[in-house]
Amino acid sequence: MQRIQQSTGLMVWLIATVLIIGGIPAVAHEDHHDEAEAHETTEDHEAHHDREDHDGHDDHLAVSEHLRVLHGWTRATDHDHARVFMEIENIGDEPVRITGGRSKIGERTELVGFSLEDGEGRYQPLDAVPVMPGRDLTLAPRALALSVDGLDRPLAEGASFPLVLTTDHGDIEMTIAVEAADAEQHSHAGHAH
Amino acid sequence: MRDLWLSLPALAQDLMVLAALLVPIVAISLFLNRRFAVRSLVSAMLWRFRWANLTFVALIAIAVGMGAGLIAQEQGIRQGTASAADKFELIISAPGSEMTMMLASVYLQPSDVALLDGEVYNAVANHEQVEVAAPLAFGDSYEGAPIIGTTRAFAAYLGDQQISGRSWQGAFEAIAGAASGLAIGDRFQPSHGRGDAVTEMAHDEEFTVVGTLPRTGTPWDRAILVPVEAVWIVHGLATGHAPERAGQIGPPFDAAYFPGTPAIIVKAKELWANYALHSEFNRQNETMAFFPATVLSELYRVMGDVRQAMSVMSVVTQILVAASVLLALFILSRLFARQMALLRAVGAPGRFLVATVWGYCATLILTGTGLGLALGQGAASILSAVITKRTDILVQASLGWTELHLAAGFASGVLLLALIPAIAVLRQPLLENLRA
Repeated sequence: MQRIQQSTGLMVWLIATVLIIGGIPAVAHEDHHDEAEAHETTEDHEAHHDREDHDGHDDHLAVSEHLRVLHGWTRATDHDHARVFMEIENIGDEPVRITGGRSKIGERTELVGFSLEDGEGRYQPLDAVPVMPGRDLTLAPRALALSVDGLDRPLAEGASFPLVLTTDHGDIEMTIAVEAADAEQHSHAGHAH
Repeated sequence: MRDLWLSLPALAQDLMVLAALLVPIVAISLFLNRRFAVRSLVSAMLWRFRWANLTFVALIAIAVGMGAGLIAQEQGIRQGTASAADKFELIISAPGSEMTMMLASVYLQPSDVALLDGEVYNAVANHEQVEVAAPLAFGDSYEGAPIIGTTRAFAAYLGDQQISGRSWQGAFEAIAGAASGLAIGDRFQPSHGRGDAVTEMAHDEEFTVVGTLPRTGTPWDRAILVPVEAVWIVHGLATGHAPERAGQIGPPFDAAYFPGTPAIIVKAKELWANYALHSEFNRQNETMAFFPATVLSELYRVMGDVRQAMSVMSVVTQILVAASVLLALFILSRLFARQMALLRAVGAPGRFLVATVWGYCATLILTGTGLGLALGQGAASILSAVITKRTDILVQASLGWTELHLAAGFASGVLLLALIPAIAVLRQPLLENLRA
């Protein structure tokens, strides 16, 4: 009788352990077909990292004769691609076409637009998007973005990298801050600079 | 390796995951059943304890069905609500809540929102990248069907240019949605208000249905589309056109005589133009431009967290059911200890006995899992039909790979554990059981 009790106890313990271990990947099975947003919910990093102390405020702003580009950011990732977001303001007198970008850390940088297909998010390449004088163009998650493909290294939260925004009125060099993997905005979003 | 995996098509990835999850079952079965025929003995055991077995199968089926059904349902709702918003790429409205505006214009939920004036409408409609700029006018209904004032171009766009009958020519002609209950030739008088707010008194004007829209699987199926001018006239407002063109139906509108629109549904000529228009018409304190796809997708992100919570709950339920079933099987195996002892006494090999008990467990668990999947599909279909009926959003929930993987993982894990009661049979004292 004692042996039965021992085996029963062991079995309960085994069932719980194996099923919990087996169950967790199933729960975390977030549509692996759509990597676009998958990492948003799977990683949990500290939301805020203040780069101000060591990088200075100027990293958040890039200005040319025609454009003012603010708060370039992306999410920490170990995938081979990242989506870069920013706020672009046309401070000139003529329309400026945003055509894409360049970055040393990736093979290709292009402008992409978000759409929903069967309830799943997809990003499609876009040629160029114009910004009228005095207007803003916001690159944000689940909308317009710059997609950097073929990353040569994982992006860790708190890091930053240079990126060139290309337009029909010249290029703009800027710094992209790497935020948490589940970030929804730049940690300084809302600051006027 | 990771690159190779990511380069595989989604179907191949799904099939390989499913195969990997089923490998333990196949491997154990092949190993235990090699050169043995345990089927008749297993059938006899199943028959002998048929009521207990039926209960086990039902328990497993409910646990698996609940998990699979919930996940399938969530996915079905996501797909249904997303395709209902397919035709609404960009919406321009007065500043406020994007969610409220989306619910009002895409899902036709009544709500009080501020209006945009004629100048804004004309700026949007005359933009070189705009193909369709539809003003909307809400407020009336007919027997529960909302009456929406808009333009001919938008009605054609909504119906994929497939309107049966014809489009309206005069102000009091209408195009009825597929689920509005109206047919070509029907005449109706609109009631003021919608839903609970509908007033007893009908407007005097009578509309004639001249065309019907094909079914779109969206809340617009229940709507009755009429010229926007008609709604304005019915409510005693300006017609949208200068007095000398008072009989005109459709754009261009005269800004000075434009009563206002809560939203402008915009179809751009190119995908990129949506972003250019968003940039141009997202003006602080003046106008708000938003993409319903973005708002929905943010909503799905929140729903994703809920889905994870639901998945955890269903996995916990499955663990509990699996644990109780295995415990019960363990106790049940004591009931046929005598028969097993007899088999051992006449020289049956240990593997044969393990194969018999495990085969018995496997039949229960696999039948329960299979039935559970069917139950999940059935429950999801019924729920989807109810949701579609209530909201007019076409929800089609069907089991996908996620559910199959969950069920396969569950069956695999439990069958691995079922080896314990099977092996335990060998450890039972032979003589004691023979005497029992």
